[in-house]
Amino acid sequence: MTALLSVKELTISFPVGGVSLLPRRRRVIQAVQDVSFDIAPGETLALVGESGCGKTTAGRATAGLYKAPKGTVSFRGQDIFNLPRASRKPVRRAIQMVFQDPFSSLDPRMTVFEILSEPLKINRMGSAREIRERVQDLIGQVGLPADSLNRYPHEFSGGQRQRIAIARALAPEPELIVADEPLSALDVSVQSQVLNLLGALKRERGLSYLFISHDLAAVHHIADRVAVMYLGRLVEIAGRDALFANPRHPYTQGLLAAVPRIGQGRRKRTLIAGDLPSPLAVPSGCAFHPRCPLAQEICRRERPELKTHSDVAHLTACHFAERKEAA
Amino acid sequence: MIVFLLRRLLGMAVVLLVMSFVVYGLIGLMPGDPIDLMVLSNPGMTAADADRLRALHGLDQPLIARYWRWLIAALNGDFGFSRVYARPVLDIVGPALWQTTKLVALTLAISSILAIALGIRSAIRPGGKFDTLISFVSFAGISIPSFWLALILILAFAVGLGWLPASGMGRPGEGGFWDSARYLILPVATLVIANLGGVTRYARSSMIETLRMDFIRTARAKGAREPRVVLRHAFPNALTSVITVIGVNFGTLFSGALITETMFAQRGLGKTIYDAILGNDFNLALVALLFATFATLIGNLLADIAYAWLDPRISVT
Amino acid sequence: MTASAMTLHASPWQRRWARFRRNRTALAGLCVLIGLIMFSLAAFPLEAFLGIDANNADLLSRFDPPSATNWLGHDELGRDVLIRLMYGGQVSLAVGFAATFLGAVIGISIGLAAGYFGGRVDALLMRFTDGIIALPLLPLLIVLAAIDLTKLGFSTDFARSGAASFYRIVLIIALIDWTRIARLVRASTLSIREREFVLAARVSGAGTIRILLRSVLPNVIAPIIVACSQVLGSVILFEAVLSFLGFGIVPPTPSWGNMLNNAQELVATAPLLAIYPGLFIFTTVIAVNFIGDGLQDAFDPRAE
Repeated sequence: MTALLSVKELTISFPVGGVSLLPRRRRVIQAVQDVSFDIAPGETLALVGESGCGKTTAGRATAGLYKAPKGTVSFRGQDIFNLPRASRKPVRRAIQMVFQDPFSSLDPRMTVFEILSEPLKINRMGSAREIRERVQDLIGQVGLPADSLNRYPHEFSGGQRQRIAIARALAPEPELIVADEPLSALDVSVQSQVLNLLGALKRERGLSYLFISHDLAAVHHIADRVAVMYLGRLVEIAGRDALFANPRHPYTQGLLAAVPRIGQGRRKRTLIAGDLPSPLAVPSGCAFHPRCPLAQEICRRERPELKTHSDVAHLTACHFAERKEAA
Repeated sequence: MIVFLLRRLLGMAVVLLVMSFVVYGLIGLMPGDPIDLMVLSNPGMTAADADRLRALHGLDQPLIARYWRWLIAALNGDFGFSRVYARPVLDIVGPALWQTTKLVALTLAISSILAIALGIRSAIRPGGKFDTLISFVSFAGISIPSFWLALILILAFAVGLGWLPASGMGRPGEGGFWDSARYLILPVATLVIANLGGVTRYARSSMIETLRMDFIRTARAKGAREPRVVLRHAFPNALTSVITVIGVNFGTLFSGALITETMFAQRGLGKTIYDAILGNDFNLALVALLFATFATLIGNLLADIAYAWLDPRISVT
Repeated sequence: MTASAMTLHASPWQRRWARFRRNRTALAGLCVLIGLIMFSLAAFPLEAFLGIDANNADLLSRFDPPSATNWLGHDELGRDVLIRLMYGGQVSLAVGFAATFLGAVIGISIGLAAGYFGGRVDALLMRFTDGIIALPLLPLLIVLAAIDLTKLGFSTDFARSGAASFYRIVLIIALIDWTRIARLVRASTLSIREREFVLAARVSGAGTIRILLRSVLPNVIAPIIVACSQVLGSVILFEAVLSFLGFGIVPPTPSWGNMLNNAQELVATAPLLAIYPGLFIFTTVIAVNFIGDGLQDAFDPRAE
């Protein structure tokens, strides 16, 4: 199986503080470090983790919004950071994005029609008439009435706005959609509708998703595989069922234990202690060690590599990944 | 603080340097050139004489070289001679600087006190009768062309009523203090009226903003009387931002006084620049302009320092 | 359709207009400004109707009082005062709008570049802007206005013409009046740049120019309009004072500023001649400032 999208050793950092005319040493946040993953055609990979762990940055880089100084993102084998001019638009077009906040991601000065036709015009996808038909098509596909097109975003509810944002992402007929926390700004009652819409689109169109979320219930519903990030690095990546049933990294275990479940009674909870450290001062060795119940001396000194253990499709970055399975 | 001051002073030096170069270059584009003027005034001179003179004064050299020579001399305190007055430029700029400083200082003192008083009074009941009136008057003050205002004042108080002199500065040593003060009344009045509106509006809005804050509500809740709330609690906080705008105004006034000085024949810096440009006295114009720039920059710097001083939340680095 | 449904479907511009309309002084300012523009344009038909030539000096009728054909009398050269006030209004308003527009173009370009590209571009452009703001503008304008156009390679005929003085004053005022607009545009651009709809436009494949013009600019247009309305007043004042001092519009082309050229001597003999043009400048600027104030409130993002 060839990957649709292949991210290799992606590393992204941001300077902190003001900029001066004169060059000087600047502090830098390592937002994403050495992150690698693949997404197959039609597959949904979920990227989970706490706020500030770099999952949004990784997602945006995948959509081509940040240029990574190190690492590659390739789509169908083509490095999206170094595309030849001719294939820039078609490749970029194939990766679209749905943002977290539908109140900020829709231009308040444009009508819905303008918002949806913009990507079609930029990519020269048809005549004015064809564009109009296509936009009318799209608005129906995401379950909004046709008379929405002449209205402004502020006239819609959060769930409706997110549907508009999804329609915009669908407009240039992408193969992969990066959905960055598409549910977290929505009311709980609307979340499942939008999630179902995403699921239906995936089935009907064979879309792939990079689904970024901290909502594990939603992830369980939609994802095929799950990658867990902590302070800019991947700590575990596995098929959905394997990960939910048998999490190996203590951080993943803590995340899963924090989800309340109906009908399972009180389980013994290994909640994660302490707060997320500042990304400016990432702990040495395994970044998780100050909060880890299993931490030993080696965790302070050596950073564990993300590697397979007994199951080839299940990668974990923990010195004690094997032992726990045995236990 | 030291670092902040040094950086600001360095910035000022850069602005002055760039400004002096640009103006030096622009002066070359002014009508008439000094040698042509000499030729005009002396019909016996030939074109060859003119070329020799040009070479003698270094005028045949490229702009950069000439500017460099001027700059080195200026840094050594030699700003050259005024063509019209035939005296060192500094002899003329010095008294002019003093005259303008007098005008500006008086104006700032009077307009700041008035503006703060009016601003506070307006802020006590925003939208009330007094506030509406003052707001209208402030807009009028901002919008009035100052040379026209000066004309109206001359028309009313000098031509019509005959109370005050229309222009001039009085003769020093004659007539005493009151006589020379009479000459200042109309120019200062013009500047105050033109300056008052902006500061009043600023004082008003920062006062209104302060009066809405929680600590004012707390003071009221404690039972402090309204005058005490306004003067003891709100005023010092509002003052900080007013000080800044006054400092910036110092700079604006220093060059803006040009019109008023011209209208009332006050030999200040602005009138000196104006007369120098009209009279092709470009060296004088250049130096006077640099001094005006310097004064403007100092005003901005003082405003920032005062701001940092008064507001404990700001720490300059 | 009910009132609430109207506001629900109203575009941002309709909502702003509704807020602006509620501000009575601002609305009055707008009416006065439109009135002044129409007054200025009335010069052509009125001149034809009365059958006079306002540029025709007639030394025999100097300071003539108002009459049936010369409604405000004659000036010190025997020209019709009213028609010259109208033509002067055309020139003064045209300079005002043109210099504000040109300054806005400069300010918008610099502000967009600084805000969108950030980093060192931003630092450099903003230092430059701060430097301009710190300069003594009026003396500097006089220096710029005193430049001999023939030394820049223009023909003597052009350099002495009224048209040249118009272009020159528009250009030099624009060179100094853009700073406020640039700073505002930069600040707004900085906040818009990170908004998700701008990122969304990039994901859609939009290039930098398209994003700046189509996503950023429309969203910073509100502060630009407010700033322009505030700049316009000061530009009209600058034109008036420069023309008054003899560095602006060259007579015989009238502007409200240069009609006051001889005002200082006239104050004693014909005070009304010294009062009319100033009154027009004053009225225009105060109207513009009231409009600016109203726009500021109407465009306040907190109200949206």
